Formats: sequence, structure tokens, C-alpha cells
Amino acid sequence: MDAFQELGIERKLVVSSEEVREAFRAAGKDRHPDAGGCPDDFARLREASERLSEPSRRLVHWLETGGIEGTMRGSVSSALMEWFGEIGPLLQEADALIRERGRASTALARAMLEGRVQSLRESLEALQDRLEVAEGERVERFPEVEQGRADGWELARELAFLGKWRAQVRERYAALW
Amino acid sequence: MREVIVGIDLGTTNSAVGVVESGFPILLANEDGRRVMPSAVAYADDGSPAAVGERALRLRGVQPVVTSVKRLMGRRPGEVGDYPLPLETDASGGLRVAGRSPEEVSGEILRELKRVAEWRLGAPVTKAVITVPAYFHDAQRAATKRAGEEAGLEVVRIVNEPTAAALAYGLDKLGDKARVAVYDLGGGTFDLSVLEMQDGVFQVLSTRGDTRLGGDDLDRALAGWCAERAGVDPDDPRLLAEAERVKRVLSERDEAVFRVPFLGDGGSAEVPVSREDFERLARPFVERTIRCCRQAMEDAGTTPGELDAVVLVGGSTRIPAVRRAVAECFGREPDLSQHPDEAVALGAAIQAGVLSGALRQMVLLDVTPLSLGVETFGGLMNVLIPRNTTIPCKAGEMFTNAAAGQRSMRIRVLQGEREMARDNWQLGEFEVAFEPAEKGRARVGVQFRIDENGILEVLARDVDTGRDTVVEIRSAAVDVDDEQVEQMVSESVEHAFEDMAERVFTEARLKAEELLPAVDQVLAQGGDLVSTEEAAAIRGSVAEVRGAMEAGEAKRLKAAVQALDQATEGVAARIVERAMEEALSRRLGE
Repeated sequence: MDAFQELGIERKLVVSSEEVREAFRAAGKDRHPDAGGCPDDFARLREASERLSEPSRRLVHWLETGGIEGTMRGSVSSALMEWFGEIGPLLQEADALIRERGRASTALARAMLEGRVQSLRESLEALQDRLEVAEGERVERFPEVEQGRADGWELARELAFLGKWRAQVRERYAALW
Repeated sequence: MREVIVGIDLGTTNSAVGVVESGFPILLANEDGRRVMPSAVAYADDGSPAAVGERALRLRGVQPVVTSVKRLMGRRPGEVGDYPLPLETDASGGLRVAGRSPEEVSGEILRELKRVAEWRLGAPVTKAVITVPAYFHDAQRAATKRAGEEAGLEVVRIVNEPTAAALAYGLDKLGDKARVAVYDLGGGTFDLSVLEMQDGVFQVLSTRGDTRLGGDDLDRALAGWCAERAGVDPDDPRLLAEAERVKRVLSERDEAVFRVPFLGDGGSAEVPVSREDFERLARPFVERTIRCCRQAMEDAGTTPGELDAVVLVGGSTRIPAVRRAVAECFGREPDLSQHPDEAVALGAAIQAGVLSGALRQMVLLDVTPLSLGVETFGGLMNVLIPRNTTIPCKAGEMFTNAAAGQRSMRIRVLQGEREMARDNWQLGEFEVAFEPAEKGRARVGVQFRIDENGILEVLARDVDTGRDTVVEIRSAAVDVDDEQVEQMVSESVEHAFEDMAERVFTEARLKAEELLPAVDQVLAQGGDLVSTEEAAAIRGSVAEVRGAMEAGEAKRLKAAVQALDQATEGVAARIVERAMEEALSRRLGE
């Protein structure tokens, strides 16, 4: 399945999520079962939209449909390795505090955790920002990949890690509101 | 002659029915001219339904009147929490109130709406679109469909309430492109959906909610607070009704008097309530809604600044504190253009019109609100369809035999976001049958499909023949054996006094054990955190708590702990404020 074809957009790596959404809506208007579309058609459309909405998945799909050999199992740059040691402990600390706050049943007990909650949220937010920057740097290299001047698969692997970490950090951040 | 499909908002507190007439959605009023009807059913002594709606409410105190039955729909015994009437469990493990299943009671409400629609239209009505909270899980949606069938209606679509409200909001703006949030706070449920609308297509980007959060909770909190002040039993149903009245008054005025004369034991209650008092009680509930709002925006990958509007629907959005919280969270004044009690029904009517052909094509790209998955090794949940996936959607999973010759495998299906299977809502179980084979050689493909109603269908595909068969999912409650049913039945009947007292004491003691050390710490710190008067009051409260614990008196301990909790509220607020200020100054110092 070629997601670009399904959505009727040009085959390129640099495309905004808004463009993908608009294409999904325009196509969905005719292909949704309510509009008389066939359910399998709509399922393909939906899957195509999911493949292209997110930069890392879009990259993988572009590489796969472009016949560029590679795999999601493999090395990542040493710059990325440093993140491993940082993310784990922070997530654990956040989980412990979330559990503690969940157990607190009185206003005072909750209040006394607030200092730690605030500083942990700051750490998570700062980490989230840095992860976003790291992701952004790699997305900026999409034109290079299109021109064959960069290793698309290594980039895809790195984006996958960064995305997973960002989701994990975001989840804890949201739970600490 | 095009067939008529009506749209119905089956709300916790109020219900309404509408239809598209000459291209416009309208609500159909009953003989009293009311477009909106209370969701109440009164039963006669012989158990037959005596009245529905306004007339049923008037019979409160005289006959058993069931209200807020939506809170029971699709729920299992033990899942309900506080409810004004006694609940029973039937032989198959289902809930019953006033001797009826929740579907039957809802069916009475729907039957009345059907009658009104037929009377107004002068024609039979057999098909309907019915709305549900976006966060309703599979069983709650299926129960709503069954309620429709009870009333003689074919439910052609189940629509999410915020999406319906978005339809009503967007009907006159179809040419524009807009991204909106719909904040829907009703009597029993809360939803927030983020949608993008363009050219007649309404796409839900994310949705979050709480099916146990609404105006009813505010009524209960207020009734409890007033009961305490008046020194009367908080469980008298008249207190709830009066709390609701006072709550409404406080949306218009700054103060009110909570008044219930002639209570059971010769007592009466007369308590002045200020808007400030009520807002303090309401704060934790409102905060929960705001947390959902932030989560929904996170999921949608949007910020308040990127929204064009935040639309309020649901009766509880009339409360000033709610409007203020929404304005603060979203950084803009909420859009009040939609009638809080009518918008959802109008939206249902619009969707009904689209499906019947009475309206031009509009397409709803809605989503499933909860992640769907199965339980795997180690008691974990393996997500097959993540939340906020556009529906209809499907996902497949291959199951293989774990041991040679294994004939079947039991798969447990779950909905929710937690990592451990047991922390999620159990949708049900099904069996997968294997041909006898070596370990890992027998394979059955199972397809999980969530339809346009957000309801799950499971198909098992025989890998060899390629044939699909619909798999029946057994609800977790049905498998319960007799002994457990008996236990559930006896648990759902009012506890013996001693059991209740022990439970109250234990709960209060746990709270005290959390609170007392915290209080000691705070008093020891001193400084300007606690005023001298406050410290004296707190110390007095602490002494009472300790005294009640030693005496082993349950009610006294509960009251004492509550008093201490309240006495330390000011300090708690100051601690939080200080922590936030420090965080802010750290941020500015950067």
C-alpha cells in the first residue's frame, strides 16, 4: 500500500501534518462508509493517514516504498546513546512520585508533595524540549535523505527512539498536573 | 417518502428528541411545550411504570422514582459507587434498580420520546440516532443500543455527545475551516473532544473524559456539607434535591439558603450557602475536568492558542466557576452560542438527517476513546487499537498454541490506558479453538473491529479455510458462579451496622495516619505558614482525632478527620502556592 497514493499527495518526505489531515478529510468525505464508501477502502485510507502523519513513520514508509534497503534493527549514533542513561532514572522518579501522590488522600499530604512535583515537572519539561529539538534536527535532514546524501534508515531508528522517549516523558508530565 | 430518523440525547439528567425538518434540525416539544424532558421514571406499587419525565419527578417521595439511570448503564455490580436508590444484582450478575434493568428504565424514557416524536410528526418513528458520552466503553454503548430496542427503536447509530455538539456548532459554518474543543459537562459525565472541521467533514483529533464526573457529584458534595452543618443524616433524598436547587440558584446569585423542613427524626436543615462555599466544594471536581482537557490537547498535539473556539455544552457549564476554569485553561472566553441542554440533541438530529438523506452529506470522522487490547503474559495489556484511532477501524492478532495439543485458549479483552491488565476495564473474554498440533504450529487469526458506533466486533479467521466467524464475547460478569452471585447480592444489600462502622473507622484511620504526621511536620516548621489562630484550631482538631481513634468511635473519627482536613486546607493551599511561586521564579531567573 502506497500511503501517498492513497491520500492523493505528492510523494515527498517534507509534508506538514496539516496537509496530511486535510488530505485525509477530503478523501474521507467520499470513502467513509456513511458516504457510501467501502469499509476496506476506508480502512486503507485511515492506515495511510496514520503512516504519514508522524515524521518517523513517514520516513520508514517512504524508505520502504522507495525500495531502499534497510531495517529498524541496527545502530544509532553515539549522540543518541547518551539519552538512554538520562531517561530511565527520570521516568522512574516520576512514576514513584505519581504513585505517592495517588495514595495521598488529604489536602495537606498532597500539598506537601507539591515542591517535588513542581521540580520534577520542570525536569520533564526541559527533557521534553530537548527531545523535541533532537527530533527536529533529524527531521531537518529529510531533504538530505531525499537527495540520497544521508542514511535514511539510521535516521528512522533514531527518530523512533526519540519519539518513544518523548511519549514516555509526556505521559509522566501529564500525570503530574 | 424518505424514512424518518430521529436524533435523541439520552442524558443523565435531561433527554430530548429532534429531527431534521426542511433542512433544519429542530427539537420536538411535548404536550406541555417542553423540548427537554427530565430523565426520570416513576414506578407504581405493582412495579409497572407510572410516569416519565416531569410527571415522574413530581412523584418523588411518593413512589420510587429512578433518576440518573445513565450512571448504571453498562455497569457491573460494584462499579457504580454512590447512587440514590438501592441496587440489586440479578441471577445473571446484572444490575437492577426498582426491580428493573437499567436498559428497561432507559427504554421507558426512550419510549416516551418516541411517543412525542410520533405525535408531533404524525407518523410512526422506528429509527433513531442516540448519543452517548464519548468516553463510554463498549458495554455502556451496547446497553444504550439495547435500551433503544426496548423502546421499539432501531438504533442506526450511536454518536458521541461532544461530536454531536460540534455538528450543531458547525452547521452554519460549513464553509470555514476550524479547530475547536467541545467541553461537555453534564449531570453524570464529562467529555472533552478536540475536533477539526472543514468542508462538511468533522474530524475528531482526540477525546478524553470521565464517565463518573458531573453535576450529580456537585449535588452530593453540597448535600453532604449542608447535612453536616445542620447535624442531620446526609442520606435523605430530599437533601439531594434541595442541593440541586441551591446549586442552580448560586449560578445566578451570590448566596442562597439550603432549606429542608420536616426531616425524618423531627429535624430540619436550614443552612446559608454562599457562592464561595459552593465553589470551594466544587473545586476538586472542576480540576479533574481541566486535567482531562490538558490530556486531550496533548493527545491531539495542539495548544490552546491553536484552537478557534472552546464550545460549552451540558447543564453544568452554567456554573460560573466552571466557565472561569475553562477560560483560564484555554486562554479565551468560552463559546456560549450553543444551548447547553439542547445542542447535543440537535447534533443527534443532524446526524440522523445525514443518515436519512434529509441533509447534505456531512461526514463524522470520530474516534474510539479508549485503547483496546488483550491480556498477555505477566498480566500486561497488549494494545491492539490505540485510543483516538479513527473509527471504523480494525486490527488483527495471531494466536498460537502455547503447548502441544492445546485445544483452546481464553483471551481476555480490555479497554483502557493502564499497563497492567487488571487496572483496565474488562470488556469480556472469548475462546479461540485450535486444531491439535505441535506447540506453536496451530494458528488462529483474530480480527478486532470497532464499528462506527464505537462497539467491538471480533472475528476469528480460520487460517486454513480463510473463513471468518463472529466470536461471541462473554461479559466477565456472566461467568460468575452461584456462590459469588450470592455474595454480590448480599454485599449490595445494605451492610449490617457493625460492618459499616468498621469500614468507616478503617477508612478514617488510614486518612488520620496520613494526616497526623504531615500536620506535626508543618506545625514544627512554623514560620508564616500557619497563623496562631489556625495553629490553635489545628491542635484542637488533632486532639479530637486522637481521642476518637482511642475511643474507637467510627462516626466521631470520620468527622474529626474531616474537620482536621478542613482546618489544614489553608496551610495546604499556602504550601502549594509557595511551591508554585518558587517554580515560577526559577523559570524567570533563567
